[in-house]
Order: sequence, then C-alpha cells, then structure tokens
Amino acid sequence: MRSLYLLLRTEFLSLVGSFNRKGKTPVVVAAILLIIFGLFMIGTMALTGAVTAHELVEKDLTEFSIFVSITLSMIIALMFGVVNSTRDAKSNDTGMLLAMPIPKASIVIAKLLGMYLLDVLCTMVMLVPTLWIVCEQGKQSYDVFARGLLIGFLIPALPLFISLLISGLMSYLRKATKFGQMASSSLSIAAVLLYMFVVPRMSNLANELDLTPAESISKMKLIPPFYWITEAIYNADPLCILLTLLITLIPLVLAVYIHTRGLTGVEFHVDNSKKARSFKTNSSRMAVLKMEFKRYFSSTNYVMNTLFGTLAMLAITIMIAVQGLGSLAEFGTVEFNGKSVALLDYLTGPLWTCIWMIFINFFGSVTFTTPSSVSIEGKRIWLSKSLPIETKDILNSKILVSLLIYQPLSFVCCVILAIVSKCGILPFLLLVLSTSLFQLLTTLVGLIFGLIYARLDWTNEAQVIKNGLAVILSMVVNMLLAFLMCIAPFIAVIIGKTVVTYSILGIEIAVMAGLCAGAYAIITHYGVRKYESLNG
Amino acid sequence: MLKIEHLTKTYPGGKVGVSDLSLEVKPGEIYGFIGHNGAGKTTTIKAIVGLHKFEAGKITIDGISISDEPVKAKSILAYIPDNPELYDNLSGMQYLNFVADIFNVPKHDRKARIESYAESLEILSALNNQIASYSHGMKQKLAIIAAFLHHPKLLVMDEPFVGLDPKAAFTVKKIMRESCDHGNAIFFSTHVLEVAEKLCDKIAIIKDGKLVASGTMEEVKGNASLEEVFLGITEEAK
Repeated sequence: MRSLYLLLRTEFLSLVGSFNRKGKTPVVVAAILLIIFGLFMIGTMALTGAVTAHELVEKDLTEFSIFVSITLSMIIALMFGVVNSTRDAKSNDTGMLLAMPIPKASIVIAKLLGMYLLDVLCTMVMLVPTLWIVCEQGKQSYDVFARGLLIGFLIPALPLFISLLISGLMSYLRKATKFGQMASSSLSIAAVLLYMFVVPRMSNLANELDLTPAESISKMKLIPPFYWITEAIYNADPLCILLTLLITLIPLVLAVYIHTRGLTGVEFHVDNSKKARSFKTNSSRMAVLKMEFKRYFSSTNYVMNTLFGTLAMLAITIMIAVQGLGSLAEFGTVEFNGKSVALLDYLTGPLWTCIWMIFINFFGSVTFTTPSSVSIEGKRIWLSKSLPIETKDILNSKILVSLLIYQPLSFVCCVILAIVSKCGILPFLLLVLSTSLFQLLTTLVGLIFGLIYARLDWTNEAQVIKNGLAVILSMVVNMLLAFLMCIAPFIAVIIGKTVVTYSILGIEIAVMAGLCAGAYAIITHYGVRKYESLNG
Repeated sequence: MLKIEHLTKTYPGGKVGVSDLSLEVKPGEIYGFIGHNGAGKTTTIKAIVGLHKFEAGKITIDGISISDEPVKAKSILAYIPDNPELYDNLSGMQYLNFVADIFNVPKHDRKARIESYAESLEILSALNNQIASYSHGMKQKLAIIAAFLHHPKLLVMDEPFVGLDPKAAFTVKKIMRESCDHGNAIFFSTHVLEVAEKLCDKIAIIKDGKLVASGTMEEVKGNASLEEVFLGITEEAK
C-alpha cells in the first residue's frame, strides 16, 4: 500500500510540476474552462438520467429505470474504454519503476486509477440521480440506493477490462506482426465501428417507454450482465449479487493481469534484414509532410483520438443515406396545438445547409490533430529544429495533415447529405465552404494552443494526445465556435426568409474566412517564434 | 568554419548557461570541447546548431549567421545530440531517406553513402527494421550516418562515443578524420579526456559557462597529461 501511495503521490507531484512550469494564469483559465465544461457535461448526463428515470418510474417501470441508467453509463464508459484501448501499457518511466522494489500490481493500479475513476464518475453521474428518484418516487427503500452506490463502484470494471483486452491485443499486433501498426489501427477503427453499431441498439433498448413491467423484464434479460446488475441493486437477489461480483471482479483481476503482462511482456522484433532497401527521393517540403503523416499514422493512440469524430460523422451520414430522412423524423417532430408537426416537411435548401453545417461542425469540433502535433514531437524536436527546414514549412505540414485527413471525408459527407436532402447546388456549395472554413479555423486554433501549451517532456504520448492542456482547450473553444455558428441559422429559421438565411450564411463564411486569415497570421509570426524557442 | 563571438545564453529564470564565450574552429580541424557536467557544453552546442536562442554574441558557420540565416547555416552543418531520440516508428532506412531528402542528396549518392557508412558501422542489415527495436548504440550509429550523409562542412557532436562499441568508436574516429582531411571541421564535446587527447587538433575547456582554456593540444597541456591540466584548471577556477 505504501508503494502505491508513493506512486500516486509522485504522479500527482509530476502533474502539479508540469502546471507550474507553464505559468499560473493560463492554468487558472484552463482550469475554469475545464470546470465549466465538466459541470456542463455532468449536469447534462445527470439531467438525462433523472428525466428518464422520472418518466419510467411514473409508468411503473422502476426497475427498468435502473437498467436504463446502467446501460447509458456503460455506453459512455465503453466509449472511453474503446478510446483508451489505444494506450500502450508501457511509458518511459516503466523500466525505472519495474527495477524498483515495488509490486507490479501497485504500478499497474497507479496507472489504471485515472481511467477507473473517470468511469466511476460517469457511472455515478447517471446512476445516483436515478437511484434517488427510484427511492423517492418508486420503491421507497433506501437499501436500493446503498446497494446501487456500492455496485456502482464495481461496474466500471467491465469497460476497463474490454479496453485493456483490446489494448493488449493491439500491443501484441504492433510488436509481433509485420504490418502491426496498420493492423492495430484497423482494429481500433473496427472497435469504434462496432461501438457505433452496438450503441444505437443499446440506446433503443433503453429508451422504450411504452413497455409493461413484464415486457420490461424480458427486454432487460436481453443483456444478461446488465440485468444481473439491475436485479442485484433492485431486488438484492443473491444469485444476481454473486453474478454481479463475478462479472465485475474477475474482469478487474484480468484487467490488472493483462496490463501487467503489457508491462513485462516479451518484446518482439520483426526482422526485415532481407527486405530490399528503398532510396526514393522527395523534395524537402514533401519529405516534411510525409514525415508528419508517418508520425500520425504510426501512433494508434493519435489516430484513434483524432479520427473518432470523423468516423462517427461518416457512420451517421451513411446511416442517414441508407435509412433516408425518415430516420431523423423523431428528432424533427414537435407538438403544436395538440398536433404533431414534422419539421422536415418545412425545410428548404438553405435551411438544410444550416442543419448539415451544425451536424458536420459538431464532429469537426472534436476532430483535430494540431493541438497535440507540436507536443507529440517530444524530445525528438531537435530533429526538425536542427535540420535546414523553414519553421513555417514544419507548421504548414502540421496544418495540412489535419486538413487532408478530415476534409475529404467531410466533403464526402456533404455530398451524401446534399443528395439525400435534395438541397440544391448553392446550399451545397455553401455547406462545403462553411464546413471547410470551420475545420480550417479549428485546425489553426488547435495549432496555436498546441504551440502555447507545448509539452515535450511526456513519458507516455497519451499525456499529450488525450490529456494535454492544448487538446482540452481546443475542444472547449471549438465547441464554443460550433455553438456560436448555430445561433445565426436559428435566427434565420425564425425569420423564415430564404434570402435572410443565405445572407446569414454568407456573413458567417466571411467572418470565418477573416478569423482563419488572422489565426494563420498569428501562426506565421508568433507561432514560428514560439516553435523556435521550444526545447525538448 | 565555425566562429563564436562573445556568446552569452541565460535561461528563463536567470541561470547563466554560457557567458561571453568566444572560439574559432578552422577548416580541417577536429575541435574538442571539454568540461564537467553542467558546465555549458550542451548549451553552447545547441546554440551553434540553432536549437537555443541566445541573447548576446554571434555564431557564424562558414560566414553564415545561425541567427540571421538559420536554414542556410543548417544546410551546411550536421548535429548529433548526446541522446539521439529518433522517430521510433520509422525504419532506419526511412529516417535516412528523410534526412537525405531534406539535404537534397541525389539518389545514387545517398545509396552509395548509406551503404558504405552502414556497412562500416555494421548496421546495414538492420536498416529496414523499426528504430524502436534499436539499442542505444544502434540509434547512435544511425544518427552518425544521418549526420555524415550530406558531407557537412561542419559537424557538431555532443558526446558522440557514448554507447558505441569499441569497433564502432574506432570507425567513427576514422570517418571523422577523413572528413576533416577533406577540409570539413568537427566540433565535439566529450567527457573522455583520452579521446580528446588522441583525436583533437584543438581543445577548449569550459567551466561554469566560461571558457577557461583553449588552443592547440600542446598550448593547453604542454608536457602534462590532459587529465592533470583539466583537473588543475577546473579546480583553479573555483
């Protein structure tokens, strides 16, 4: 226990130390933004859980409300799990720690604690309001609340196990196979797609409000592990309590074991000595761009964390294309004077532009490679800085990588959505222009943050790809920008005149173009100086 | 080839890295730079190759200022750091091609040079393997090949022999001497005084960021051993 305490204390001191090096003001600003963002997310999740629970309890589906809460929290935890699965078990300090008289389990637990606590937070945010409503309005028994709280701490073991299982498999693929990087990236993408396939089904199952209590039981039994957990909390069924303990504790032990194997497992080295050597030449600019691409695609962690939004956007676009606009009917129907009014029937060309712009920009706001592109160089920054390359070219290559990864897929989505909604040529062109400019702006803003909050002393790349200050700030600012861009189309919808909508879209595009020019000017002046002052 | 005039570098926070340092390396010279840990060797080297900005002084490489024309200056120099952190996910060959592309080394030249250097450093068969699988010494060898690939006029090396096996160290010394015989210059830091004594035409001793001795080997050490002189000078400076 003492060694675990010491490890956690060192991790904490290291975190505090990294903040102290950046100066206090930006850290305070970032902390405030993070707290606001965190409270917003927690509030939204808790409210969703509470409203759903309230509706279900009112319809006498009290037990089902707990099941729904567990399902929703598991969906979120699984998403974190899939994204976390790209994290390599080893970090730069692993060798040093393994050589010390510290039990391996302590090292592993210290490294897993952050992931576990995040999952616990997600679970509790959904579960606690539900349990409270169930106890207040439904069962009137606070035993359920107490059991729910206790079991809530065990539930995250499942997504943690799944994430580490995928992580272990990817780590093996990376090291033991010839095309390991490609295979592990493909596996990551497959995991995301599987997640996207599973989630709507789980959500549909959890959101059925017109069930009878008997029907709800049979629905719950469709996902046995969640049913056992629900029964353990709600009815304290001994068999279900036992099964709950088995399906959470065994994966927890296995998760620690897999991670331990990842720390101390055999290193594989693929022998390519007989492969012919290539001496292909490139211009220096192309060499820098190719290097930036190689660096991006060689890190599964980097790819997964930055491609997630793009893949989600593509998957939903394809779903809309396959199922038609009818699949959006439930979102676009409002009650007016006691009648259901389908908003979709009233949408015209430019309004479709606004809707698709919001849709694409939402995913665009979480898809960026630039905030971590400077920090990812880490101690290797001496390479690009000591070579005869213009700093501007290095920064341009980072911008280009982000745009070349996102823009083609974004364009494909624009084409599909424009065809599906039959919005016309001009709205389509405005859609392409506005989404492209938005992505350019978020890319540039991300790079500016990446330069300001560059961290080159990381021990595991996840520290800068997932948890870096630049990444978090960029996400907050991008979402704010995406939200601000929604306001104008809403005004246009209220006024209802096509010419007004076109005008507002035109103004937005002009403002974004101006902001992009400003941001690029900052990068070419301040950014270049900042990059040149960085030391690994 | 390399001229440092009154170089002063102070780190944010007030720590003086280098103070009023001046020295000159002429074409064909191997110049050793010695000093204790934290004396300012790496700071000086990083300033020479453009990794560190400095507030006072001037550094020119073949007459080109590293501050005013960094890209032009860097195109005629090469740098090997003390701990060669390379792109782990690339193969050795991909890394060498990247460096060759940056320095515009033609295809036939790069093939001949890579194969020749890699063969003499016994790393040829490993070039297609990922750098992540390399040992420290192999990474050092790869960094050395990359540095010599474009035949730089000035080679700046920070502790180049750390991690090299004796045979590789011998080969590197031979390549260094051959390079200087062709009119190029080498400036390198080392802790190994025997290496400096045997290899260098000139040396400079740095202590707490200040140059305390410099000149030809005879000028600095006279009849004594370099070890005695180094210890004497650094003790005196206290």
